[in-house]
Order: sequence, then C-alpha cells, then structure tokens
Amino acid sequence: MAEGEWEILEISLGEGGMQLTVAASPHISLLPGQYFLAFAPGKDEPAATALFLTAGGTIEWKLNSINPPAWQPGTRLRWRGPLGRGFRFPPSARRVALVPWAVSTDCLVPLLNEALHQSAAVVWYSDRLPGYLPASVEVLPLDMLPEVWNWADYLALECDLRNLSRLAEALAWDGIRRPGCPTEILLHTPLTCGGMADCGVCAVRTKRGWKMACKDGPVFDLAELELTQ
Amino acid sequence: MSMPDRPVLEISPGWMNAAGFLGFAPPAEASWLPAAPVAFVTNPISYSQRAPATERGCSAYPGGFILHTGWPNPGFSKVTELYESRWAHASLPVWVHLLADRLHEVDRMVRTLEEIDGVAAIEISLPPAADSDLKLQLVEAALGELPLVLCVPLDQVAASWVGQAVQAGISAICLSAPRGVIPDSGGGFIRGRMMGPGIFPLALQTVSCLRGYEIPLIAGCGVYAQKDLESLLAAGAAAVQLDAVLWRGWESL
Repeated sequence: MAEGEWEILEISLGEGGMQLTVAASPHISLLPGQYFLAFAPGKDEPAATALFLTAGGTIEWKLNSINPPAWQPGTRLRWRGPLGRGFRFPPSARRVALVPWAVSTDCLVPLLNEALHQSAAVVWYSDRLPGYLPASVEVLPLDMLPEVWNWADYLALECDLRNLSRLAEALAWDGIRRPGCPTEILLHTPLTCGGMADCGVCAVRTKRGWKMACKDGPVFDLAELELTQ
Repeated sequence: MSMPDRPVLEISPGWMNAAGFLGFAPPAEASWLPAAPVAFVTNPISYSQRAPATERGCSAYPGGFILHTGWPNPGFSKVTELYESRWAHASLPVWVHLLADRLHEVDRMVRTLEEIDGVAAIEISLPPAADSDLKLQLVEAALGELPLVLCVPLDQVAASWVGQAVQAGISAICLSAPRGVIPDSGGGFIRGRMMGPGIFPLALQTVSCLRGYEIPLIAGCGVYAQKDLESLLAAGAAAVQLDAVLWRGWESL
C-alpha cells in the first residue's frame, strides 16, 4: 500500500456523480474496484472518503466518490491505498457485460476500457449513461438484464449492499455460479476503516461466513454472496 | 470510606487506541498513525461469537458520524487462540477489551486472561441496557489480578454506579463514545456511537469537571488534533484514547 498527497485540479459533476481530477500516480498499480481513502488536512473531516479510480492516465486521474465532502479545486488530500480487492478481469473475456445498478458512480468505466482494449464486445446495462461511452459499446435497458446469461462470458456488477437482493431478482440470479460467465460485483458500503480494524461496519454475509468489504472486497464473486444481507 | 487494594495500572501520559479501532493485535507502525502509543487496546471481545449488527452503518451528521457495528468478533476462545502469541510478543502493553454480558462469562474470561502473557490490563464495557445493580455485579466479576479499566460512556460518568465501581476496586476509568441517534431519510432513526470532532468539547468539559475518583482517568472521544490530546492531558487525563481519527489519518503538527 502506498500513501501520498494529491491536489484536486478540477471537480466536475456529471451523471456519474462528482469526479475529482488529480495528477496521476503512475507508479501505483491497482485493479478496477480497489479504492483509496483520502481526507483534507485541516478541514476537521470526521472520516476519510473512499475514492475509486474511474479514468487512469499517465498525466491525470479521475476519481469518483459516493459521498464526497465539500472539497474544492486546490484542496490538498492525504491518501492511502490502493485498498481492498478489485475486479479480476479475465484476459480471455470476449463478451463483457457491465451493470451499474442503481448507483451514480462510474466505477465500472475502467473495466469497459480494459474490455475494449482486448477487443471484447461490451454491453452496458443501465438506464443512465456515463459521461464517456465509446460508440462501439451497446447500451441496453435494465429490464433486459435476465438475457445477459445467454450472451456474456464475463459480467461485472456494481450496487449498494442494501440493494443486492433486488439486483439478484432483476438478474434472475439463482445463486448458482455460471461456469461460462465469471461474475463479480462491487458492493458499495461504508469503507470507513480501510481494513485496519475488522470493525464490521462494512460486513458482507457470504456463503463462507462474514467478510469485510474494506479488505476482502469491495469486489466479490457474486456466487459467494448470500443475497439476504 | 477506605479505598480498596487494587492492581496498579502502569500508564504513561500519551495516546492509545480506543477499543474497536485497530483490530485485535497491535498493527505495524504507519505514517497515518501518531507515533509512540503507550498501550494497545484490542477490539471488544465477547464470550461467544458475535455477528455484525443487522442495522450496521456509518451515517454522517455535522461534526461527526454515528457508527453502529454490533461489535462483531469471533468469540473469546477463538480470539485468544489467534492472538495470544502476538500479545505476548507485543512491544506495547496490551489491554484486552471484554464485552461484559453475563457474570459467569466475565469470570471465565478474566481468569483465562490472567494466565496469558502480555496482557497488561483488562478493559470492560457494560451492556447499555443493564441496570445499575447488574453493571456493578459485572464489574465485581471482572476484578482480579489484572488492573481493570472500566469504559464509561461520556454522558454517564457521573452516574452513581460508576462511583460504586471505583469503590469496588477498578483501577481506572476510560471515557468512551456516547450513544446518539439521528433521523434517517425514511422517517426512522439511526442509532449508534457518536464519532468525530464535534464531541470533543464535551469530552474536555467532562475531564475538566470530574473530581473525586482518585484513580486514573483515560480520556477520549472526538480527539482529532495534537492540541486536543494535549488539552486532555493538561486537564488531568492520565492518557488519551484515539478513535475514528486513526482510520481517517492523523495530522502531525
């Protein structure tokens, strides 16, 4: 895990929530879905904020947060990360489905870029479009979700932990792993301690007992999860 | 009334973590933690395994947040199996925090800890809903060879049962986060422990006004800056416990 300081270069508000632009930290290797914890020194912030990389580059990064504090361009942030477990995007995937379900973040966008980079066909299931979506990506409405199992060979989901059972219902998910379609999900839940404490506020019920989203997630194998949380 | 003999708590002025904020064994040094802690306090441990709270969560309000976890832990036997070696080899005094629910469970846990190397003290917290009699009985069940630190929520430190616990022989009092409630967006309520710098003035007021217990007072609650820590020590605290600031990151002077 690394740590450092960023200065917020720009803040934009779009369909994917608040995006922070900071100078890239290209020496850091991270997977989509891993997160940073950051706070602004001197601002009396009670807790750090979880930030997800939504667009990486060699010069600038864009970061997304579910509940951003009142930061401004020029605010300096102290951060540590990357933390947790991210998506394990299979290099062999050729039919990729991405489902940001009832969330206003762009956390799946880096996967979209990875998929296109390896010449996979990509379907984006959402009633909301991210700020950036290449023309080659097919967009389908959420009510077509149950058909995803007939097509995709990799499925990435994103939802709030409290909405997991509703997402499963929308997916017609029976809780059984689909061998031909690895399915991972980024669960949004408070990532307050960053794995330091086993405090349990981010606890996720899995078929192998309780796991902590802050260190065992926030990305999980969907088949490992209990749908009732 | 004469004061009872009680095990002496060895404590230096400085900081330690509050229970529940750094896990079950001392972490490696990290730059986002303040330097030179004077002790390590384990996560709260119950006699039996405890699952996370159904309504667990972390909800912000101006000046802080409400934290509700249910104190999940694998239970006393499992925790000691997993961590007693690390406690024995820790470079810091280790205080084991117990969730005191039933008298016979407290007694068994305390007697076991008395045989484990590296345990310098026992810290206990009591069920919020227990009446004063039960609280006092639980304290008495936890008394033994090791110094006993009683965690008292900030808003209850003047309660009569606290004075009785001091008379019974506890070695120190530790101020812990008070419970609070905020409305949620659905017309219900979010309950839990209050965290954040917004409660620091209440902590300092409590330490400044508290007199007469004649045992060490370990302060805490809402300490987010070095000057706050030093204010509590200057007001008479023997040491200071840091809580959610350890997760956020400490600001060095």
